[in-house]
Amino acid sequence: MSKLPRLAVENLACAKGERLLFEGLGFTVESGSGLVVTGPNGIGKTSLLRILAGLAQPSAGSVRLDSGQPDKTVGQQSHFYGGKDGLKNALTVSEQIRFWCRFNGQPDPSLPSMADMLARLLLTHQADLPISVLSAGQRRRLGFGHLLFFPRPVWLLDEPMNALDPDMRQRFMGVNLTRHMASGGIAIASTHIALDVPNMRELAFAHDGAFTLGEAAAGQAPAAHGSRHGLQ
Amino acid sequence: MTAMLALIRRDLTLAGRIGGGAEVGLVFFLALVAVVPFAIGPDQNLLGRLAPAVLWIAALLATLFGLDRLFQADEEDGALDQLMLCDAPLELMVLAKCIAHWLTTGLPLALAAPLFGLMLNLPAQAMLPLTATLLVGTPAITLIGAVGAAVTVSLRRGGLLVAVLVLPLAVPTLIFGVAAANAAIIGPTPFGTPFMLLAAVTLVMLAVCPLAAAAAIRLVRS
Repeated sequence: MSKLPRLAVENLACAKGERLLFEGLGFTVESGSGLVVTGPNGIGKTSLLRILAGLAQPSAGSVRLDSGQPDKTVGQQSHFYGGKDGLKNALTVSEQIRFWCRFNGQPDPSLPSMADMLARLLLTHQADLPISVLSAGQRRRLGFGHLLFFPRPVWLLDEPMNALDPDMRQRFMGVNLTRHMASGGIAIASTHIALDVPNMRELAFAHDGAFTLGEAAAGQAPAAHGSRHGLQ
Repeated sequence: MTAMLALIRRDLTLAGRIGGGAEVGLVFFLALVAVVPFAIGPDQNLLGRLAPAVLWIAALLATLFGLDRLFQADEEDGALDQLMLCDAPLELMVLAKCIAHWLTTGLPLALAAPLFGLMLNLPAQAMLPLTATLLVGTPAITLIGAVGAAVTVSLRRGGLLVAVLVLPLAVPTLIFGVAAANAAIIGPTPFGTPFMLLAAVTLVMLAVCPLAAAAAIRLVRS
């Protein structure tokens, strides 16, 4: 990556049926920084992330990735990590990882590299378990492997802290998010749970669809796991 | 290309693990074929005359059976999102899923057809031609079905709707498939003519359906 990527959103609007969720939304996220999207349920956080990924169409506005790969869409340079993890219950943990590797054009992982991947997901002892028997938190971590092993500049995270225990929130999600942004990545996360990650601004939606773009308190704040973000 | 192969391999593994693919289709095929002689009665010649048509209808219905799940399973668990965001075009992903589906339903049906044909007094000289028509024709049904499955991807109970959408489009395949099999039994047209047309229909579907299904998925999901 010669130049650093930058995600630019201009004049974005989203309507669900008759109801306008938001309009006139614009922001840029520089390489190495992030955005935390907060607000009440149903206000359009997930819709925003799906629009950014190109999985849904905005009713107005544009999303582009400056200095990205011009032959790819923003979605093809993004990972979308939401409530649905795309994991197949009938596969085992290691089979799922092997599928990802083949699917992304990488050779089948050798045993050491498979062990290394499992260790990064903190799932070393679950390698041969079917995904159906994993706990919710273990599932969430496995789903995150897609983001960790196949680097893309933009991470779009919908409630990434869900189902993770307070220890894992910091030890797993916090560490990986910090590392992603430290290596020049961009992260946009919707969350109700404070992210203790530096370099993330906050985009707060209010009940009426108004939004304010400010500095996220995270980074300076002590690890206040489980506490809720205030709406400004 | 590697992504396609990976997806085919995954879907074959899943079909083997979960079931509901080859076995259920075959059992359904067998059930249909087993019931027909009771309806037609003891006239063996009539049964033999009707055998290609019955086998083709049974194969058509057995292929449609469960086709509504082609994309729905991936939609429900989020894997479809990942397919839509991967570097390879969605059209190729659709094609990969169709290939995997055909390998687990159409192919076993075609291979089992001569055996089931025995129950319908299918003439011996027709067994090979009938298998050939099913081998060439069933991919078209899977491909057309993929378009129906794509349109109904976000409907929870889309099964019957898929059948209603797909059956009219499958009529050309049915006509040429049965015509070719019948030509091998009674003539007078040579086997080759309808068989070539059957192959042509499949090739057209191969070119058109992945594009249509991918477009439908994009449209329905946005």
